[in-house]
Amino acid sequence: MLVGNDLVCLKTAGYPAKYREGRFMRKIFTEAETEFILSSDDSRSMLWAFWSIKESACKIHQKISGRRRFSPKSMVIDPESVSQDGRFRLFAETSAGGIPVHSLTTLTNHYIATFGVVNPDCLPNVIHQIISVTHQENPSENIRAKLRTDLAMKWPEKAKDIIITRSVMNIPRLEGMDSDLSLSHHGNFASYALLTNNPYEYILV
Amino acid sequence: MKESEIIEKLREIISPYVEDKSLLENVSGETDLLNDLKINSAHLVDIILDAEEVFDIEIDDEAAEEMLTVKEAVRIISERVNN
Repeated sequence: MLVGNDLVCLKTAGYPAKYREGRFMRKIFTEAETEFILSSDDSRSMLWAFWSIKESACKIHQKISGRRRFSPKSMVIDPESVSQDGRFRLFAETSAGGIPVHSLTTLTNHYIATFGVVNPDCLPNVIHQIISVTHQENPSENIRAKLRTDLAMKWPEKAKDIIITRSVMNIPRLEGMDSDLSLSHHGNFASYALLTNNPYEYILV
Repeated sequence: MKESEIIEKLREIISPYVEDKSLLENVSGETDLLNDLKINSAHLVDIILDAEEVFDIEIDDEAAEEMLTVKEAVRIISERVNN
């Protein structure tokens, strides 16, 4: 049961000319991915959507392999798997070093946020929340506070026993709850993706 | 090129991508670019591209995967500069 997420604040990320040039694209994307991005109606959104899909897959790969690597290029998105549900939701399949990752990306005018899972049946079980960051000095505390509040509201009996910690590889996780957690922050936004066996169990409490 | 020169140039390359400049004061070999300097991972690509230009080297994908700490970045750059 694994989840990985990533978020791009579009204002912070921008779209400098160099990002459209060959050298930058070649460091991150395969030829097929580059072609897909550049032929899209909205190349800027598609570039950051693909980036966040790769980052989400990379986080899952790190959890499985136990190795930290900066390897966006080896997270390979199958352009043929990309499908859009209206303007705002994009599904994709990525091979993360041989591990298939199924992802859902939300596209807005302000941010692009993705979460990915290994088992596609788990996609509906992911609770994915995105917030505006108000505490610029410690943005990660914003999303932790949001998560603690959500857990307390949805699962009042157990929330007090749940602790947000980090592994030796600096990967966030929840102690005291059968789940997997991923956090992301960029610019004005932060997000969490929480995968549990049955999220409705505590939503309905 | 001496290691100290590489570190100094690397510090200049990294600096624009570090929001909290006070974090640059205690940079050592063990400094982690993402966790300690809070550099966004998209900027790792910028740093790799800038390092290629400044040092006139090529950092291939395999080497780029390792560039997560100052120590590894210095090793990768010095291997290529001094070759």
